[in-house]
Amino acid sequence: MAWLDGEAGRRTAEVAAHLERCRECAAEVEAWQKAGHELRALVEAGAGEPEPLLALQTIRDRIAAGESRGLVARLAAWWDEVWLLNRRAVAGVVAAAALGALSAPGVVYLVGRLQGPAYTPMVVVEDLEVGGNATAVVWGGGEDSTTLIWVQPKAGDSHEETF
Amino acid sequence: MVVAGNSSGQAGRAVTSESLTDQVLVERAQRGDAIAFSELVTRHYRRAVRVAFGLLKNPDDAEDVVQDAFTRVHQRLGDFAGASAFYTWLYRIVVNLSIDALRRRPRERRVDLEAESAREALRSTDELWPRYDDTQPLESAERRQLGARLERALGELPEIHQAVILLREIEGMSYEEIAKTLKIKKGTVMSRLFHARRAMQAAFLAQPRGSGGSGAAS
Repeated sequence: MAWLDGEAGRRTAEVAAHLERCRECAAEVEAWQKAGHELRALVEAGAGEPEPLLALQTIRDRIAAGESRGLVARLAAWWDEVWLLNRRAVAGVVAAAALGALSAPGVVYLVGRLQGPAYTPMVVVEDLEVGGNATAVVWGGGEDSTTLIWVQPKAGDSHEETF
Repeated sequence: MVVAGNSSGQAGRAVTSESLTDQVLVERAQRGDAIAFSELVTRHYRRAVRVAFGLLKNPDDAEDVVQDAFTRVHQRLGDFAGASAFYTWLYRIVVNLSIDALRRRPRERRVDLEAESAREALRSTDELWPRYDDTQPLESAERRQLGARLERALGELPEIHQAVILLREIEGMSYEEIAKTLKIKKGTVMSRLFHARRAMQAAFLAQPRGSGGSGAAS
C-alpha cells in the first residue's frame, strides 16, 4: 500500500521489481489505482466548480456577524474553536478529569485507612472577646461543659474556669 | 489580484498575490490585510470544498462547511504560528466541521471489517475492484453505476477513515501531510489508510450486484 502511495522509501525499487514478476500483486495495485482514479473523478464531478469570489461575500458576512455577537455567544464560539482544533487534547483532559473524579473516593478511603480514624475536634471556640489588655476565650467542651480562659498578658496573669 | 500597491505611485512595484506564499499572506491577514485573506480564500476554496464534498456528498453542505471554516480561520488567525502549512490547518477545520455535520445526520450503516458479512465478501471473490473501461465518459451507464457503488462504499466507512482516504486519494497528500492535518502520528495514518481501504473494498463487494451498478463488476 505504501508503494501505491509513493511512500515506500528505500523499498520502492524492490517493490517495483516484485510487481513485474507477480501478476497478482500487480493486479491489486492496478485495481487500487483505478479505484482512486474513479473516486477522484466522482468527487470532482460532484463538487463542481464552486466560485470562491461568490463565497467570499458570505464569509465576510459571517465574520461581521461573529464580531457583533454578545459575550455568551463569544464564549460558546471560543469553546467551539477549542474543541474543533484540539479534539484529542480536550478529550484527554476530560478523560483525566473523569478518571480523577471516579478514583477520588477510593483514594480518600485508602488514605483514611492508612492514617487511621479522622480527628474529631474536642472543643469548639464559641466566643472570643478582647477588652483592654485582656482576652477571653470561651470553649465549648465535648460533654456539655464550657470553659472560659481569661488572659491578661501584661499582668502575666491567666485564669481558667470550667462551667 | 494585487495585494499591496505602492503609495508613492512608482510603476512596477505592485505585488501580485499569486507570487506570495501562504505564509506571507497569513502574516498580512494577521495584520488586518483583508485582501490577503481574500486571496487565501480564493486560493484554497475549491480544494477545501472537494474535501468537504467527499465527506458530505452534498455540494451545498460542502460549501456551507468551507465558508464556516474560513470564518473560523479568520477569527483564529492570531493563533496560527506557522508551525505547519496553512492548508493543513484549514483542512483540519474543514474535516472536523464536516465530521460534525455528518454526525448530526441520521446514523448510516457502518462497515465493520470484523463482521462476518464483510469478511465473507472479501473471501467469496477473486475480484478486487470491478474491471471497467475508464476511457468511457463519466456519464456512461457503466461508470455511473460503478460510481454509485463506490460512493456508497465510501459512505459506509467511519468518518475518520473517509477523511484519510479523501485526503490521500483526492488531495494527493503525503502521509506526513495527512498526519499534520489530522493531528495524528504518521504510523496512525498508515494503519488507518490500510484499514479504510480494506473496509471500503469489503463494503463495495458486499453490495448486491444490482445495487447501483453491476455491469462493471463482471
